[in-house]
Amino acid sequence: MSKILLVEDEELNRTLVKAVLSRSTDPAVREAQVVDAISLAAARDHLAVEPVDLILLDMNLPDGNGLTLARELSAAGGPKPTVVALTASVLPQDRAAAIEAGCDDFLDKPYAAADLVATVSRHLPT
Amino acid sequence: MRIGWSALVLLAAEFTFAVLFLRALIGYLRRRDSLQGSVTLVFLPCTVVFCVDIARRIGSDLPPWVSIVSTTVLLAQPYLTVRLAARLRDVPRWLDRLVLCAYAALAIPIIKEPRPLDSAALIAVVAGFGLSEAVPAALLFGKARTRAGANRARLMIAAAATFAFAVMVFFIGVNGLWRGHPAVLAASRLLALASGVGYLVAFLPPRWLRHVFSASAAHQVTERLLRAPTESPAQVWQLYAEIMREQTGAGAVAVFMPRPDGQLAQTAFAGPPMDSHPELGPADLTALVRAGRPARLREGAPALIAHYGDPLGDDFVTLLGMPVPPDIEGAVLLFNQHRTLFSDDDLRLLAALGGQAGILAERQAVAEALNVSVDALTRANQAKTAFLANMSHELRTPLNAIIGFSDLMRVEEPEGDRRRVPAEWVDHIHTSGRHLLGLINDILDLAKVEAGRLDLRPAPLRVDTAATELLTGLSPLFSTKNIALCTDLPPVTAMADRVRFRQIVENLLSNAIKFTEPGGSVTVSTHQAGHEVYVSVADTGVGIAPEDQDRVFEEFQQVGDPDRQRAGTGLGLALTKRLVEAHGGEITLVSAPGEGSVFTVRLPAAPVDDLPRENHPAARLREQV
Repeated sequence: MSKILLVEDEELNRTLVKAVLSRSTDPAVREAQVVDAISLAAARDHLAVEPVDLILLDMNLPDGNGLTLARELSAAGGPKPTVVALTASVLPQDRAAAIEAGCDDFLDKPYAAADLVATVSRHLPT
Repeated sequence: MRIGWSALVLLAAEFTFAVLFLRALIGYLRRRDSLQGSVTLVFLPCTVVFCVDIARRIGSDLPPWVSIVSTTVLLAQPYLTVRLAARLRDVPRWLDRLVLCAYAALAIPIIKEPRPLDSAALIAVVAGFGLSEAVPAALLFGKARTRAGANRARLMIAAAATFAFAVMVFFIGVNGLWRGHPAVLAASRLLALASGVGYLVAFLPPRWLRHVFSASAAHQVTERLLRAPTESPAQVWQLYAEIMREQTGAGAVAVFMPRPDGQLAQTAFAGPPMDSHPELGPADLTALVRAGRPARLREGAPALIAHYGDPLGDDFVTLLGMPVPPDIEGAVLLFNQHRTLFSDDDLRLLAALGGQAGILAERQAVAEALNVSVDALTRANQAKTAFLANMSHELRTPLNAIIGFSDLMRVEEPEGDRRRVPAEWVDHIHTSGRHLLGLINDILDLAKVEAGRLDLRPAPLRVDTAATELLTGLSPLFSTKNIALCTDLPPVTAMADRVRFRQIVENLLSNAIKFTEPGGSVTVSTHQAGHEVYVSVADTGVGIAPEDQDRVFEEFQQVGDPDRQRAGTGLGLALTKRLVEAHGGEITLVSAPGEGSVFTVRLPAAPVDDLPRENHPAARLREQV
């Protein structure tokens, strides 16, 4: 069973992501274990304890920009989870910054449920 | 009497020196200028020799002492030239004394020895004279090198003429040794003429030559002014002052331009470092403009002495009017430790070139203003781009919930024409929709304020009543979060738009609730002071750090403890500030981290005549009765 770390401070968005993933037709996605982190600090704490396969990373977090975490993971070297940026900042320079920080993929907010499932499905180990 | 060409050359030379002498003498008698006196003395010896020579040629039998006197006077020429040079530049005292001693040593054999002098005495006199004359030639040459333009050329020529004079005496000596060799005699006479013509060009240059000198100086100055990279009018004037200093060899140059009040203020200064920036009144200047002559600084205006006297010492100061097109009259002040011999042409020309600097400065001022507008436009454009990016971000956030949950609803199993969906999803969509609407309203309001199209209808408004109504509506929020509400609402009446006033206070209250921990309190109070009404919302929340206190009123700026749950649009306080300002009021913030925040809104009070009936003192009195 794959593990997904959902780094998102808005409760509504966390509820939404979990509701969408749990209703997916793809069993890998449906059965994936989703763990919450409401801040960068919480995400770091979790990653220190338990590795995950995929990180769904919001950008505007209470203690900083999500890209900070992406950069830390890239700089750490070694095996790293796939990072998908979930962001409402959709200007070309925001995308460029996400790629430069080491995000593997990104999904613009607002996203369709099917797009979220497809993106997660694509990046989860089979 | 038959006169050969070589004798004619000598006569021409002697005549030239006589003209120079008379010219300098007239100048001295007219103006009693000590510098002119020195020049007169330099040409005196040659003129004496000329007179003696003329007298001898027309056949007078002169007694031997005349020749001795004229030769003795001629030998003084090097020393007199050194005295002239000492008025133009620093000359060491010992050098002055040395030349004087040499003169005395040369005069002794001339007076004592029988004629004709023997070879050894002749060689000693000639060598001594040549060496003495080389001293002022070198001094003048050295001075010329520090100057520019016509001044430099004329000083150079004067130095060369002095040197030629020394060589001439050398040839006369050689002639004496070889008993009148015609070639040597001719050479000495040619050199005498060359020296005379040289002095003539230096001291009485023909008009065309002065124009050539001036034009070349003007060309240099203009080229330098135009080439130098300058960014501001102040830099242009500074550059002009420095060029003036170089071209004139002045110790210091100050440029003055009129201020709106008519006083002249120093715009640029080139010279030793000074602290003050003096101002001059027109009266100070008239004291200085005295037939264009340099004045001693101590004779100048008190303002000048006060400002320039100490740092620059007892200097000569020359004032030049500087017309700047179209109709500005500036001034240039030149400070010199010594007098300048030939500077009038250059100075007038250089001052006139100040007009060009003025045009350049004007152009720089326009360019500067243009840069400022371009910067402002660029900043405004960047602010607009940032605002749009922020707005896009803020609008997408609630839309994400709306689209996401409604998307989920669509894939739920239908039961006939209905779908069974979790009730909370519907709530999420509704909450996000309301949030989105609030955001759009705030943005529209902000746009209206910015465009000055806010439809504000100020009327006398009972602030206490309006606040109480609002607080009644918001009371569930207080009780849910367990925040105590305190009020101090005496009856006061402001001139305000009812709807906008509610919006202002509501924004402040929702902020206060948002940032106050359960168990804290929010205090709403009003009071009137003079023609102003104050409404304060104080909370016991997290507070705002001093460095963030200005930013909270900017769009999309959310500050404070990052661990807090974020909510709100980031537009509330920006809009509140603008709404208050649209009323002619002001919003202030007093806060410290951990000690809560107090937002105070100042609004104009309603004029007493406009008070609603119930608030009118007479009406209240009636009520009490």
